[in-house]
Formats: sequence, structure tokens, C-alpha cells
Amino acid sequence: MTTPQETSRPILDVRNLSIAFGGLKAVTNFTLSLPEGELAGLIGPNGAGKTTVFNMLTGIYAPTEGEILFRGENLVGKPTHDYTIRGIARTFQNIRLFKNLSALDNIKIARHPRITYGLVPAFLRSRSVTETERQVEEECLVLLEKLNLLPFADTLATNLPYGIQRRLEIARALATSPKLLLLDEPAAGMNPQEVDTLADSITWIRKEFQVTILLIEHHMQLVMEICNRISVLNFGVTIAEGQSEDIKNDPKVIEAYLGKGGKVA
Amino acid sequence: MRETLQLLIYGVQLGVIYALIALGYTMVYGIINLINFAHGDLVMIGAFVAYFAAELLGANFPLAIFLAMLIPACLSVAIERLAYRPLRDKPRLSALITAIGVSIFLENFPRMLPFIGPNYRPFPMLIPFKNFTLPTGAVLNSIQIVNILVSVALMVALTYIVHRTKVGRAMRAVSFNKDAASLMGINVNRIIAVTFFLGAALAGAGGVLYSMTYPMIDVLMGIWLGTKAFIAAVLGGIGSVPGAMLGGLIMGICEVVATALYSELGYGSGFVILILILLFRPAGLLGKVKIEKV
Amino acid sequence: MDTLRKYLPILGLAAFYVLVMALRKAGVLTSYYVQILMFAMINCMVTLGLNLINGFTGQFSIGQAGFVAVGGYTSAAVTTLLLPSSVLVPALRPLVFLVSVFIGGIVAGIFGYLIGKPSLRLKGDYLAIVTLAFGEIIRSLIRLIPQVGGPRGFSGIPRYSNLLWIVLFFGGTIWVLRNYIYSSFGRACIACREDELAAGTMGVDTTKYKVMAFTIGSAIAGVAGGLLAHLLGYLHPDQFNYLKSIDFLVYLYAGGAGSMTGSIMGATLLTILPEMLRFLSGWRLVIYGIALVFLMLFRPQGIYGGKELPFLIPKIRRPEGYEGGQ
Repeated sequence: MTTPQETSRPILDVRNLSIAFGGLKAVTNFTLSLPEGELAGLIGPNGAGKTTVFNMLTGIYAPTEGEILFRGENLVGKPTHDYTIRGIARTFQNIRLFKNLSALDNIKIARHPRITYGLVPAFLRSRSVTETERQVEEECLVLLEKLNLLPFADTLATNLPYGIQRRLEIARALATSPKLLLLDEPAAGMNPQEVDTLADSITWIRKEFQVTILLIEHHMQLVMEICNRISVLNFGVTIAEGQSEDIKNDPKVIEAYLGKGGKVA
Repeated sequence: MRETLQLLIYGVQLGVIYALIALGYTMVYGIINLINFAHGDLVMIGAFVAYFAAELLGANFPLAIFLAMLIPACLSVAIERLAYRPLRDKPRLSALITAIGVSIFLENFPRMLPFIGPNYRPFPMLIPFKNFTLPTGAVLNSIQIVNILVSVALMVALTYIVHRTKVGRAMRAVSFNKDAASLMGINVNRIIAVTFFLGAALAGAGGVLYSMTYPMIDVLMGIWLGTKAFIAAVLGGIGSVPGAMLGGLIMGICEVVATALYSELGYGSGFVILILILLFRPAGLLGKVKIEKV
Repeated sequence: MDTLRKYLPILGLAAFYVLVMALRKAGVLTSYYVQILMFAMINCMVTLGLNLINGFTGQFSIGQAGFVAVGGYTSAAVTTLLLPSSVLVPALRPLVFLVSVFIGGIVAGIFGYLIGKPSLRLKGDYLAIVTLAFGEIIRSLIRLIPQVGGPRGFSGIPRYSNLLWIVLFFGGTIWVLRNYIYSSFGRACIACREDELAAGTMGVDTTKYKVMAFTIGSAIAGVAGGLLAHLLGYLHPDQFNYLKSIDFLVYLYAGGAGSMTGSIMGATLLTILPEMLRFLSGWRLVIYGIALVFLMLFRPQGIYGGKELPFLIPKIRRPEGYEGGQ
């Protein structure tokens, strides 16, 4: 794996991103630069605008101002699926799996942009389609196996236990072959033991799949433990940015979370 | 000029009736997202109730229209209880299919009853007919005046109920968010029943007013009347009460004008206008586009 | 064994055709019954097309009869006005018929594309309203075209359709749709149904696949319309009013949206049932209405919702060690 220092250009360079809903400025001048292979955290109190940032980074909301440079290309104005095809994948705060489909089918849908056969062969189910489908099935099963999800391959997503659903959502995001993975509160609703496992999984995923990861998390211990770099958002404005040690002791951050005189983690 | 005004009078007279019927569609859709296919048939039932009230009981106009509002309203509450409520948490379209089933039943059951049957019946004169010539030369008749006055009065009453009473506030709360409304102590089932009651009462009134204008009634009259009123509701912005009123008026006027220009155009014209409006304002004239929360 | 399994549906369809023909020859089935069977298969095709739009892609079209009308009138115009049977040698007639049915499908598909493109960008029930309006506008337009009979109806259409043609098109529709649904395209459509926003973040161009499903579904309705025109020999704009569209909607949801088996069962059952209840005269529609309410109350997912007969699901061989408990 390349170390961050070796890459001259950041994989993601967000400049002055702002969005307003009606008169409400949800995010103002959000700026972030991620070197390739980074594992960064985006934290902040509830309603700070973190998920809104993710929604802009995946084309779901159109920013009113600013640029999203991903591998040198400005993606602002493109539809959501273009963000994915170019290598940005995400999970959702309140899991959005395809509930009535099996775990395997969930993964297969994420392979969609990588499948290239045409409409007419699909109608006739030509030999090449059958062959491609067999390969897709295999790739997806292998991916499920890597993430210890193989036993659930044929279970409907809605019937899976909560923790497994979270893992499946990460697997589905990975199936799009992303360069940048956005995780929206992956530890939400997990017990301490599960959070420990999750921390290991995230660092492992970053290495195994060679992805840059940006995660939103409320679980401060998790963020401090695994992220090399942290941005703190409050009321749509970045109030601090830096290494985890500096963030922990930044008075502005402490104030945002606990009011004056508090202490973080 | 005189002809334009005359057409406008016809258009408004038809439009207020469409508006009355459209209100029921829009209220039900606003509160439970159901396109109530049986709504048009309640219009027909209203017309028949008034017909029998006048023919058998010799009822006058106020009594006839009162019964024509009350009976469909009670029927509508019963339909909601039996055919829609059990499906509220089921796939949305199951309730739509039961609505179609109810509609087929409501059209065909009276057809088989010996005292109703499939034939057209002349609707009795509920008020004396009289023409008034306006200074501009256009003619306004007593039925048109009653139509417009009664419709406007009912719409004002509905607006008052929705915006100024406790029940109305609860209706708006339920249509906004059922779960939250329920947590605030609102009896959601009761409010939905009230919505069906009010919508059907207006439909019944619409049925009487329509039959006074076009005095031939039959069991299938609700189908096209209902469809046009539904289009009016969408045109104005489904879920919006003032939208339904505006949509009804536009539909009525356009239909009258298009028919006057070329009789084959009358029917299709409303749909063309609908599509044109939706192209530019997808949520209808007064509807709001919802923002999806992620 | 695998080859047998592969060809079983084709054999089944052939056996069905031979059986019906034999019973017809033996006098067990009258031509009236065979006619009902043909109507049932045509209704199945329209319902299957609608299922792709509503059941698999999660959209809500309620104007399917409009597309049947477009397909029917177009193909009838080809065989009646453009190349009437009187100018053709008999051997060419089936070919012209076949081509006309495909043209009907293509034209209906084009209409579907033109309607779907602007209205499917929007969420909610807009498609429903636009398709409903479209069906009624088409009907008004047909009335204005004297060449196809206008308000009097289009008569003198050669009766080219027969059981064989209809069985072939019916089987073909099922096969093609099955292949589509279990391809990458079909999965993209299903993703739109399940969660449009999540589908977008999985790289699915949701508008494209919604429009694609709508176009294909409309084209199938058009093909069915072509078959219907040449079965009846006569078309009238009022045959395609919105109550007809509602019929297809009922077949679909009574059978079970999102299941091809359901569509076939729903359309067949509800085409044949009212015919069998004819002795009840007007009461049959009363019963039909009540039955529909009860069916939905006790089986909201429809007769066969969420399930599929195995031959409608293509088998994919899994690598060793991954067989799992399928």
C-alpha cells in the first residue's frame, strides 16, 4: 500500500462546499482534503450537518456553492450514479438495504455498473450472459465470504440481525469497487464488544480493499482509536481539523460537545 | 363578449361541482395516500338519495341535499372501516384494489335492485327554474345561482373546519405524520373516519347539484364525474384543499370552452391541460414538492 | 437432466397447444372457449408488461389500455390500410401480420418512452396520472382520425390471429421477460423498486431503468394489442377506456405484483371467471367486486405475490464450496 506521503495529489479535495435549504444554511464552506489511503473521521454534535456533507459527496444533494474534486475531476452537478461509478461508495445512517432481496442479490446490484453485456443478449439470455452471470455470482459469493457473510447469502436482508445488516451494507458498498468509502455512523446501535470488532474490520477493510475511508461517528473512542485525521463540524461550520490528539484537547471542540468546561473522551 | 361571459357562467357552474368532488379525493389522498376509486360512486349515491327523497318523501331542496350528504358520508365511513382500514399497514396498492372492488360493487349492486336498475331516470326539479338576464346580455338561471352559492358555502365551511377547528387541526397533523399525531394523543382512526365523512358529504352534495344541472341520472354517472374531479384534484395539487377548488374551476371552464369550440374535444381537453400543467409544476398548481430525508 | 429442465417449459407450451387443438377437434371445447383462452393469454401479456413497470420496478402506471390501443390500431392500420390482404399472396399474409404486430409493439414502446421520459424523473404518483391522462387522450385522438374509423370504430381488420400465434407470442413474452428480470438490467429495475436512493448510490441510473422498464412494458402491451386487433377483426376507441386499464391493474395485484406467475394466474383466472359466471347475468359484477375486496383483505400480497414457479427463475451454477442452502 502506498503511504499517504507518496501521493502528491489528494484523492478527494473538497473546496468551500455550502448548501442552504430555503433560508437555512446547513453547511458553510466545508473544506477537506484527503490523501489516498487515509482513514479520516468527521465528527460533530447531532444536527451539525455531517450527513448533509455525505449527501453532497454522493450527489444526492446539490451544493449551492463549492467544488468536489475527486481524483482531480469536479463532480458537482453530476447525478448520484456517476459518483458511484467514479469510485465513491457509501453506507447510510439508518440502513438502506434492499430489504426484500437476499444478501447475495444486494451485492449483485452493487456490481451493476461493472456488468457490460447489452440489452438484446440479456433478452435472449445468450451464452455470454449466462457466463457473466456465473462470474458475478462467484465474485459476490467471494466478497460475502471475505466479510464473513457467506452463511447469510440467501437470507432476505430484512430478516438479518441488525449487526449483520450493517456489515452487509458495508459489503454492498465495497462491491461497487470504490476508491473512497463513506461510512455514516457504522457503530450506531452496537454494543461495546461489537464496536471493538468493527474497529478492527474498518482498518482491515482499508488495507484489504485499498480504499480511502471517511467516517461519521458519534462513538468518540472508535474515532480516536482508528482515524489518523479528524474534522469537527458544528452548525455546518468546520470548527477544528487535525490529528486525534489535538482534536481531543481543542477547547472549541470541547465546548461544542459539552458546553464550557467539559472534557471529551 | 356576451358569449364569453355566458360560457364562463356555464364553466363556473360545472367547475364548482368538480371542485366539491375533487375535495374528497384530495383530502383522502392527503391523509392516507389512497386514490379512492369509489369516491365517484358516492356522487352517484348522493344523486339517487336526493332523487328518492324528492320522489317518495316529497322532500324539498334543503332536506334532499342534507340527506344526500348524510347517507353517502355514513356509507363512506363504513367502507373505510371495512375495506381500507384493515389494509393500512399493508402494501399501499392493496387498498387501491379494494377501492376498485368497492367501486365495482357500488356501480353494479344498485343496477340489480329492482327499484333502481340500469336505466336513466329524469331527476326532479328541486327548485323552481327561472332565467335572469344580466345587464351585459348573458343569461343566468336559478339553478346556476343555487349551484354556485351552495358550493361556495360548503367550501367555506370546509375551509373553516380544516383551519379553525380542533378536528381540522388534528386532520392536518395526521396528514403530516400519523405516528407523531398519534403520540400527541390524536385518535388517528377517528380523524381518518372524519375525513372520509366530510369528503363523501361534499361528493353527495356535488351529485345533487350536478343532477339539477344535467337532470338525467344513472348508476354509472359517478365514473366520469369522479375521473374528471380526480384530474381536477391533481391539477390543483393533490393533498391541497385550495388546490382542489382551483383545479375544479379550471377543469370546468376548460371543458365548457373546449366543447363549445369542437364537441369531440371536450373530453380530452382536461387531460391535455393536466399534462401541460404537470410538466411545469409537477406537484400541481398549489401542491408542494416533498423533500426526501436521507 | 439439465437439458430436459431447460426445454420443459417449451414442451409444456407445445403440449398445451396440442391438447387445446385436440379437445377442439374432439368437440369438447367449443370455439367460444378457445376464444376465451386466447383472450386470457393476451390479457396475461399485457399484465406481464404492467408487472415489469409496477411490480418489478415499483412505478405506478394505470393507463395500460392506452398502449394496447396504440399497438392494436397501428398494427391494424398496417394490415388493413397499408397492405390489405387482397393485394397479398396468401403465403405473405402471416409475414405481414407478424411484422405489423412488431410495428404495433415498437410504436407503443416509442409512446411509452416519450411519456415515461418526462414523468419518471418525478417521484410519487405522477406516472399514474400521466398514464391515465394519456390513455384518455389517445382515445380522443383516435376518434379524430377518420381513416381508422374515428368514433364509429375500425372494422374490416383481417382475422390473422389464431391460437398458434397467440401461444407463440405468449410463450415468447414470458421467456424474454424472465431473461430480462434475472439479468443485470432487471436487478437494476428491482433496486429502483426497493429503494431508489440507495439504488443510485449503487451506481444504478434510476431514471434510465425506470424509463426502460416502462418502454418495454408498453411495447408488450402494444404487441398484445396487435394480436387482439387481428383476433377481433374490429376495434373501437371505447374498448380502451380507463376501466379497461383498471382491469389490467386488478389482474396484476390480485395475482401478486412482482411475480410473473402471479400475473399469469391473476389474468387467466379473472378472464375466465367472469365468463363462467355469465349465468348470473348482472350479479356477476356485484360478486366480482366483493370477491376483489375479500381477496385483498385476506391476501394483500395477491394470490402468488412474492413467489415464483421455479422454471421462471434461471439457474446459476455456484462454484464448489459456495453451494449453500439455496
